[in-house]
Amino acid sequence: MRYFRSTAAVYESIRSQLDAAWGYPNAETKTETALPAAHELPADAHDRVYLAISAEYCDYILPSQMLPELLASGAVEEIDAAVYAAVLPPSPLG
Amino acid sequence: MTITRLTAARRLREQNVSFDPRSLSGLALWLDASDSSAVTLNGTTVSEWRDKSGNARHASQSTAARQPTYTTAGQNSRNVITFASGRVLTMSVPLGPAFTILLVATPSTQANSYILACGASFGSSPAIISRFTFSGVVRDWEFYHDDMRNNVSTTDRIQIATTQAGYSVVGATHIDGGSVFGYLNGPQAATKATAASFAGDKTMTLIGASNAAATTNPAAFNIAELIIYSRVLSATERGRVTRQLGRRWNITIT
Repeated sequence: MRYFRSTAAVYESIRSQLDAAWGYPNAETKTETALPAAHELPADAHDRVYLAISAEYCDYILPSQMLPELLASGAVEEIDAAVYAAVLPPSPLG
Repeated sequence: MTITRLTAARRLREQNVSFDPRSLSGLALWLDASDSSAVTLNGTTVSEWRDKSGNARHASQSTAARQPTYTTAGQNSRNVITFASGRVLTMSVPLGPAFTILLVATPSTQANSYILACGASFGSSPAIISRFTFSGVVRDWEFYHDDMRNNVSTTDRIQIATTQAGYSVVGATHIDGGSVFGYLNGPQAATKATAASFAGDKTMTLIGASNAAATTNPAAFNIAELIIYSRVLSATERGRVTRQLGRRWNITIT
């Protein structure tokens, strides 16, 4: 897994770009969007949203092309599992 | 000699006749990964796993990044569905005061995994029905059976421990206020009296996570088939379903 955080606006812009490129929503495949909507993600007190996503997904052509520039610009920050876990709701059993 | 041949022939016919879970009353959910006509794909991932029970309680995921993977020929040349962290299917299956769960699955790595859970009805900490845990080479299949609301205690469960690798047919039966039984490839493997009856709605909503956002679930398992009845099956009935699952998925049933 890889973990990222950004503002909701930046995140939604990325999600929209992916959706447009991949043709979502797609009624035939019953897929609405590439990524969860920002309001579904954990967030912190600074209104940053946090995304956990498989490394495999990040290796898809489009994300792999977008990520370096996003990270370099600072619009998206890659974080570690511990930072991500700190903003999660409590897990039932761990 | 003639009688023997007839008996053997009948036995052979019975072994080769497929058993349909719909032939037993109370079928609440039947998810069969080997039936590709019951699966909608988004490339190689699953957006919908359709319920064959007739109740239309399909399991679905409309967000691509959260869709589990459809794995061809995963077990006994049949397709299975692979769940990894962040992947979850959602559905709505009312469980009621009594039920039987029969699950064909295997861990894909030695990682604790949430398999089935009740979701939003229970607030921010959904209650877990089933998960894997590992302790060395011993895997525990756990079924939680007490008041399935927030913050379920680890004591409110049965554990079916095994060192057997690969797919298993794991079963659990539950009666509110009564006993809970666990089964592994046929025989009873665990039992516990319930401490209290369930309160409120019990709706199973998740495969592969403990919440719909899949934010807290480790998951690393393959699931082949899931059958749920809204009653406790008799030993004979449970045996028929279990043996059929064993035949389909090449699992030794004792």
